[in-house]
Amino acid sequence: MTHRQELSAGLAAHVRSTDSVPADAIDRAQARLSARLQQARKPVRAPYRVWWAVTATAVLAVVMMIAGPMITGGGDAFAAVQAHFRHFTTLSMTIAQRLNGQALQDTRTWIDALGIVRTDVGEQLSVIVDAPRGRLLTLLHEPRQAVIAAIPKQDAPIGTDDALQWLEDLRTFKGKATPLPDSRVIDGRSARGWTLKVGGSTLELWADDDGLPLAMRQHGSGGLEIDFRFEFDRPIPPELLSSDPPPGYELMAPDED
Amino acid sequence: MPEFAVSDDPEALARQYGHLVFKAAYRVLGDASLAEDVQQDVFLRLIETWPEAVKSWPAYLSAAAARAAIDVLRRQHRWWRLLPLWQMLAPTTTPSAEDAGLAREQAQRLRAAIARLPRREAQCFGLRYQQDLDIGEIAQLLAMTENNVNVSLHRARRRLEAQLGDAISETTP
Repeated sequence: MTHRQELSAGLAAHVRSTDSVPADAIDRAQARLSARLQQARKPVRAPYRVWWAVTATAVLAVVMMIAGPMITGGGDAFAAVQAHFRHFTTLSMTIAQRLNGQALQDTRTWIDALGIVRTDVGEQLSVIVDAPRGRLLTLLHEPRQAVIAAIPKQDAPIGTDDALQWLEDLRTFKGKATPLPDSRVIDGRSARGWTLKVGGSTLELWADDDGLPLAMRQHGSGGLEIDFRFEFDRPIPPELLSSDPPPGYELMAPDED
Repeated sequence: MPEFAVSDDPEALARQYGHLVFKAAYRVLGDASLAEDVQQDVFLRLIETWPEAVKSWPAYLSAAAARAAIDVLRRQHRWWRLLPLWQMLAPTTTPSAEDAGLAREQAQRLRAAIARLPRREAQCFGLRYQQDLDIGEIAQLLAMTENNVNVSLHRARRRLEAQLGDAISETTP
């Protein structure tokens, strides 16, 4: 950066400290951007329609900013958001974790209405928790090995999984969700947010105008932040949630302690 | 669907400059999730309204990202002041800051200080020192005179030096 010589040494050091950008985040963002643009490409609107939309949006934003906290029914709006977590057929999530600002391993998680949960950790490891069948399948993809372990059978297993405790907490949440005063654009969709405390952590939850949850940030203790991106009711290939070892995987005995 | 030439196709531009736009937003915001929102917003706006007579796409897109990101940063700063809960979560007061390393602390302090600048000064500062644009480019992109850009930069530097105060003198060799 050639112009920083105009700054004092101290200020230049502060500016330099903002240069670092996580490479994995760039790649993830680029992939989502491409998908979003393919989805969004549409005819350019006539100028008067653009201006009308801009004006209407601006007016609405001002009204919402001023009147938002006073409008009754905010609870109903959040209830619509909450309902999605209670009544989905499938829920797919991308989960990015950071500890004190340092990126940790990203994961992908899929859940179906039966409560079967699959979590992929990078490209190496998948864990399928099939509580209805009482089994846990671990897949190591590089050596193509599978390990099956027995777990207690349960009808509603989600709340027993520590990593998904927030989901059960959110489903049963009866406290006050505070609307956040501004909107965001997430995956090209306008989103409104709420903040709420569940299970000792603070959640910021963002949903589109229809109450469909799009994203969430969980602030945990000790500097842990977890960012979620949600997709509801997207078809999941059955084999993804199967707790039977896939073809070509060698079944290994579980480690004995 | 409209047909775009290769040179004015938003998707082609996104493939070529998407990384650049994300980085520009991230440097300002220090948050991947928010930077991603800004990145998408910049390219979706191109689909809605195609800009006329862009001389340099990298400069135009970096500036669009930096401006949008600065607006997000400033909005966040307003919220943090308004809401006690968010104030608690603001980067400058995060309890983990002490453990996070000098560079991260500096970045957080600078971002919080930029958020408190007047909008034009924040934009000029970000474009000049985080995106490395020339005065002429900044003037054109922000529809200002070069003289006004220089004045805004001078004021921004002075305000930031004052806001960062002790933190700057600690890092000065």
